[in-house]
Amino acid sequence: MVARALAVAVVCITLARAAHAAPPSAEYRLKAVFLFNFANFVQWPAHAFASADAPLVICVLGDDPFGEALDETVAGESIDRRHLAVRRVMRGEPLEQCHLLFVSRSETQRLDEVFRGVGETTHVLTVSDIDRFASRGGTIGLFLDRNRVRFEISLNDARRRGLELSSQLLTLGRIVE
Amino acid sequence: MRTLRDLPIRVKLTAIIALTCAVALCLATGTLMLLDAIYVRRSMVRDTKVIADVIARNSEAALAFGDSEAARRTLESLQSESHVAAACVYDAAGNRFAEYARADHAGMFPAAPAADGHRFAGGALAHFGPIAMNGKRIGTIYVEAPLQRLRDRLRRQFALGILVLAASLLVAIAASRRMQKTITEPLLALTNTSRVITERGDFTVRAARTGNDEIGALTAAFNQMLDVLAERDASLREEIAERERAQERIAELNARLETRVLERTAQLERANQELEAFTYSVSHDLRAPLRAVDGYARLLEEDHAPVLDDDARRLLSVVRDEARRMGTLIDDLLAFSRLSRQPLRPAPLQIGRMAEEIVRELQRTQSDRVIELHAGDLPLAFADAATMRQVLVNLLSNAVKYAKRKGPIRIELGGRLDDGMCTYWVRDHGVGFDMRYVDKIFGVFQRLHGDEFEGTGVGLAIVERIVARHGGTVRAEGAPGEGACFHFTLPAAENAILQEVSP
Repeated sequence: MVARALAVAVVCITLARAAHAAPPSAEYRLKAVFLFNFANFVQWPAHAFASADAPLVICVLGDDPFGEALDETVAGESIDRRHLAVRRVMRGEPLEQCHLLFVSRSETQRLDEVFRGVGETTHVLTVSDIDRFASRGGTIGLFLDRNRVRFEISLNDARRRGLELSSQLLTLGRIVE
Repeated sequence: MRTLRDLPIRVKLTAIIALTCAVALCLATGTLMLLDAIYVRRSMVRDTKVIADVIARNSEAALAFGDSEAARRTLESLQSESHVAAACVYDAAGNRFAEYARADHAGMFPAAPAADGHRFAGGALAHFGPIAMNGKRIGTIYVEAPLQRLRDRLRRQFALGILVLAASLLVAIAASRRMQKTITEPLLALTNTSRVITERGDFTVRAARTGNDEIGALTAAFNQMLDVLAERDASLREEIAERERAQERIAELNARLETRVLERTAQLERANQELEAFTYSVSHDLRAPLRAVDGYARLLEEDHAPVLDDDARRLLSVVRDEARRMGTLIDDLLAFSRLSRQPLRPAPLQIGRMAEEIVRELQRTQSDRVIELHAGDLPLAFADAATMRQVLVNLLSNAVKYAKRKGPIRIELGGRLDDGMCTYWVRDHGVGFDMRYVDKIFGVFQRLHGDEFEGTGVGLAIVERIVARHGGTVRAEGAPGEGACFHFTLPAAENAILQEVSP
């Protein structure tokens, strides 16, 4: 038992370390900015926050492709006077604490489980660059179009979660469903 | 060149009103145009800012997500905004991110964003504003609005203003030309009335009174003045008429007087002539018997001397003396009567020299006494020599005659010039006379000394007559025992006016 847990822990740490070891690419630096931007152009309902000064939490589920980029992007920033916090979550961990959840490509095969963990009507804004993410149950999907990072939005999903998306966001992104 | 003062009141009033209106209108129009210009500028600045702000807001996401296409699309919405010529979005680094320009926009976008705010440069209003996301600046918006519209508008306003000004001015002038009549018409009427009065001399004309203002008061005063003038005129005319009547009467009286004078003069002349004729004939007639008396008395004396005793001879001598005396009297009367008939021939006369001659003659006949003549500086008289000789003879011989019994006979002869007349006096220190009888002394046959002295009493009357004929006067003064002084005046030689003296 202990040996197994230990082994898993070692594997995880190794993997995590491996993931952290590589510097973030330009693409993911940009995507980190996008995440920050999404946080700026989305309104979460008041009850999504525990208190007035509770932080806005950006979670990364799975292998973290951002490296330092995401942390650097949100460092010192505040949205609506709320600080931003970046958390890396493991599979199975509770996700209600997240306001914006980035699902790493590593979780491509386990989307249903992820969404089940998230819940259908929770206030979590799910973002991922998994292929056709927005059509498959996510809120915002990132994709590359001629070397440009674009995004598509599932308006229904956002509405279901009680999230208000800025019209500018809707103009910039492609609406799906 | 007429001075401003000479312009008719009508023109002056119109000009005053027009000028005042012009000034007021200019001020009003100018102020309005200025305010309008300021307002338009301000609103332009504000509008541009508003647009820039809106665009900035709408470009946030595009700029944040680096979607320049979307940003450009946003800028293109400015197509409908006709007064924006160009706009540009700059990213945080100051690079141009998205641009928009109108088709007719000439000119470049600023290479880098300048400080926030607006400035007027190069015929356009340029506005720089921030693009912020979440309070943090992520870029700059630039909006450019050409001033052409503003300028066009201002020009239009100016033209309109001038038009309004001109039109208002014309209306003001037209109105004032009508309104100034209320002042000028009464004045002109007054001027006219006074001219009519002056030309016609008609004081019954009155000026019509219009209104109760100062001009009305002037008219009333004018009319009052005319009332007074008319009265004066009437009374003056009356006076003149009266004076003329009086003058007529005087002229009439004068004429009558002259006629009467002529008549009287003629009468007097006739009377004089008759008198002279009478005197002449009488004296001649009187002489005849006298001669007879004297002659027969002499015959008696001479032829009948032996039969006459002393008493008879004395009586005869008295008869003869008296006859002689009567003859002298008749002679004197004759001379007196002749006086008026001879014309005077006045000439410059040395009174002193004549007196000296006369005194010498008198001295010749008066061998027992010395006659002293003391004469001072005598003015030159203008008189007839012959008659004046008689005057001096009479006066000087009187002085000799009425001298005191003993001692030299002192006669003083003096004269002075007084304002064109010479006054002479003959003073003696003889027996004098009583001033009580001074009025009679120049009368005919007036003798104040009775038989004591010889004389007929005609001498002084002759003196008076001759001096009077020269236009002078005589005066006598004296006191008993202290002598007498006889003054007479004659015209002076320098001031002589040739006169026809009627005989």
